[in-house]
Amino acid sequence: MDRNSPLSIRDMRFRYSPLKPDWTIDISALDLKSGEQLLLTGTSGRGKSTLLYLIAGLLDPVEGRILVGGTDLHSMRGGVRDHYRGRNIGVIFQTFNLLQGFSAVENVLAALMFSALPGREHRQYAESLLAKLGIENPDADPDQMSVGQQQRVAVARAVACEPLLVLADEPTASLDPELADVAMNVIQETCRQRGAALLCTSHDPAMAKRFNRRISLEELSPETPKR
Amino acid sequence: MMTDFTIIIRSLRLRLFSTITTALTVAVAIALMLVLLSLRDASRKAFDRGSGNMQLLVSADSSPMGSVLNAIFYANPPARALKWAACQELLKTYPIEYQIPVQQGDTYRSFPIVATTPEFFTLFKPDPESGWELAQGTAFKSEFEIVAGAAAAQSLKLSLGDSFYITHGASDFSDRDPDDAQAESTQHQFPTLKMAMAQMHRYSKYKVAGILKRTGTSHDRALFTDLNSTWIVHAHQNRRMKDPSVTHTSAADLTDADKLITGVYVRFKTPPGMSESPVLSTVYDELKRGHPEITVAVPAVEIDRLFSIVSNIDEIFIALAAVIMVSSGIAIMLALYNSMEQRRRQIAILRVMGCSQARVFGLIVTEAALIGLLGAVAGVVLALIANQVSAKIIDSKLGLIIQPALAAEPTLWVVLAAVVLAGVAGIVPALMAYRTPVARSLRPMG
Repeated sequence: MDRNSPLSIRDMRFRYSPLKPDWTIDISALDLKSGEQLLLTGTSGRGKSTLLYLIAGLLDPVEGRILVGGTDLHSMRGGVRDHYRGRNIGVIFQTFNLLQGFSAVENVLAALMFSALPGREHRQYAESLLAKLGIENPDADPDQMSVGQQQRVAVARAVACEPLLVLADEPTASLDPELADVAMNVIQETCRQRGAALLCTSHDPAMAKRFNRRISLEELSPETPKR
Repeated sequence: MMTDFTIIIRSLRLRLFSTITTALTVAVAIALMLVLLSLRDASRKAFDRGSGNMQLLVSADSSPMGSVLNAIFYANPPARALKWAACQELLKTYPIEYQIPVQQGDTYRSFPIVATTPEFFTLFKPDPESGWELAQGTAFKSEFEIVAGAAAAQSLKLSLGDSFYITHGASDFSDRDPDDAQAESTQHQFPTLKMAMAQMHRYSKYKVAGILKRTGTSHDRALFTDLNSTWIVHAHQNRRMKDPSVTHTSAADLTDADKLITGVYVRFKTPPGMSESPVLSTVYDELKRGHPEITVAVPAVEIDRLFSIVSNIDEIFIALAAVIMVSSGIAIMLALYNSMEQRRRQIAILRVMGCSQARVFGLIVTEAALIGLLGAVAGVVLALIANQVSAKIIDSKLGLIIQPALAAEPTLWVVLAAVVLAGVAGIVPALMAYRTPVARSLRPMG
């Protein structure tokens, strides 16, 4: 595994149906270095989330290669791919997608089930991670928490396995501007501290100033001149 | 530390109502199955106990099975009688260990009166393992004394020294006080056919001399007295019909025609270590062929026959219980299947975190099996309660004392079958979970 190359995409094309004439995703090249943070912009419905699912190995490209940590996730089968994803990729969703019926710490523990960390250390590690993110009551039901706290639990879960790459899918879309700012601080700072590369999608123009590197899906297609 | 088991428990807790109701359907099926199995075994044992160490039953009943049911299990008073002297003559050539006459037909408050000889308590063992024991008092030593079976004494609230008149036939109106106006009037009102056919023997009161300890057999419901007493009351009645001036009848007045019995319990000399006498089958054949006026029955054989008939009904019930078990499996499948739509997102989240499709499949199958296990455990508890309740009902309604118990091996098999069945029922929803489209289930998409 190459920790210096969290993400490398080459000539990757994807469409949901072979009957569709146009590609949903068509990327000639995209690279992300270790610890790098990239904002992927684009209007809703253009395939930003689809790209994240392709990178996470939850969808398979029709053509081209996607390497995560130098490894082609799509050449792996079944459980091996799931195992690799669990250990190397963290995902933050727009709607947080916390596990219903699980407490805050249990949401993090659920992610740690698939990590290399010894089981006896899980609880202490999960609680300290939540504490660092300002969650003082790890046993609380996330449904009883504020939206901001829920977002922090989601971030803790995404980075729990010390991933190479964190994929954040419109992480602030359901937050008001003030809370969105706080949430992005948490996400970016946590990734920075843990050395994880961050690929964040958003259609919010206000997000642009937070990232040194920004790119739109349209710019990634072969016909568009690269920045 | 989070484990797959924690995830399953959380999932079951989230759908608590569905989990409980589904587990209950399994519990009912398991309980029904276990109760049927244990009642079958217990009733078989109860029937086996009733005939005790007797090997042959001689009577004038119309069928061998009827004679066993009437003479041993007190189903009905035997319809026809035999002369005791003739029976003794018939059996004298055989190597007999005991021949104990019994005469039935009288009752006290619906409990059968069995007139017999003292050998009934010394030679006949109601349970092959153990003999009679007195809880209070003594066995009857003189005429018009009663030794009460444990269940009869308890139901009739009899104490030593209590006295009462018995009734010819089956009736509820026997009373301890012959001068009781109510008893007199009921006797003449005949509110039921059973009462109309019954008649109180007012020649002499019977006095309770002893109360037996419980044997767990049908005999616990009987009241025992000596043969002479019964012969005397019936002879007195007959003599009064011919000559109303007769005021007293004693044993000396009895003729062979008065000395009637309804059955003879017979045991042949049996070599030590053998449960059956070598002459039993020969004697049985000789008596059956040579004496059509009597009915000979080997109780063990008749009980086998009875159970082979009853077992067909048993099998239907057990098959029904199995069908209910399968239905409960379908209920598990439906409950999980219906929950899948709501769980797609949760499964997709687990998949994103690194949970493989095979592991998701295993989680759902294990969840189904766990519902089966919960239901099975609840079913075992229900069965234990139901066994006690049904034993009491059977005791009070039928007078048959059964001790149903859950045998370890069949119980384990039934529980295992429930768990496996539930696991199999989980396969369809598990396949749904296995095929959950992760990307689509995590929408909204950008």
